[in-house]
Amino acid sequence: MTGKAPITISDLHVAALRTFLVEGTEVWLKQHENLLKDETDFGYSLLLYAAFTKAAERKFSPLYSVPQLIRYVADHRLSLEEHADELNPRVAEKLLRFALGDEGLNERPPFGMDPVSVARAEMYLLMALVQEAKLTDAELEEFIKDSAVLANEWAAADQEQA
Amino acid sequence: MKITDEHVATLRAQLSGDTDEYARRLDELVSTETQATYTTLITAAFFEAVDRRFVINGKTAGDREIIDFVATKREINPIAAERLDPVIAEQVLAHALGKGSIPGDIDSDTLMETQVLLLAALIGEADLSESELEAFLAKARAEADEHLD
Repeated sequence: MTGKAPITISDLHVAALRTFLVEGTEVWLKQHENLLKDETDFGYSLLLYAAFTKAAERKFSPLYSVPQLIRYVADHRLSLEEHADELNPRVAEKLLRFALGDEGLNERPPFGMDPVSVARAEMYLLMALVQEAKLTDAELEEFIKDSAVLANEWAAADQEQA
Repeated sequence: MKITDEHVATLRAQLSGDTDEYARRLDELVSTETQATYTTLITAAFFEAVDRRFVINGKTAGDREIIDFVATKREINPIAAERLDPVIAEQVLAHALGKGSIPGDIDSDTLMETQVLLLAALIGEADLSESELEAFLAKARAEADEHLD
């Protein structure tokens, strides 16, 4: 097969991201379950990943260390109490390092791991990072807009390479 | 084969951080049988060190302490950060404390490396005196001998 359909970030994707960040996982799952199930709709996962990258940069750039990320992930797992096992620490650390452009990391997502664990870690971290940032409504809107801009840039770059 | 003085001397060198002596002694454990016996000693030492650290007054530490311990060791040591998979390390520690099992997909080399790295971390933290280290080694030896013909 040659050529591929362009990836687009729709208003629905943006609305779903907002639901996730503002209303939480349960409401988000109920309202936007179909988006998650649609394996041909890469726009949504690209937007989520862009938001994750933005949130990680906001928290850790420009100066961070791997030990700092190890501690961050461990503290977050401790806060999950009996659900700590739901966040794979190795995956979470690598996702953060990759998002922050760590040149010492010679792997890319999904790091040879089960893609579901990777997606789950991304969502856990995105939620934690955004909650900790304690954004005002205006800042959150700005964050969502910036995430969409980044996702659109990636989509355009992807299209140029196709 | 039972544990020999050579096995104990090898483990002593390993735990004391005497890397030249450890490497030399390890090279001398040539036969498959003596290597397997040394593995049994390491496992016994590992279990002993885990008990020492995580069972206080008969009370076994919980998952939080295990998660925190592994994270702390990986935080302060770049080799542990890279080579110690936290999920596996936590499972191996929990198993040594009689909680849960080690998943079947963890191969024996990974299991041994995890035990060795954790043992080094546990002993490093314990900061044993010479006599305490000797007592620890004697206990590990006795424990290993119970599992050997």
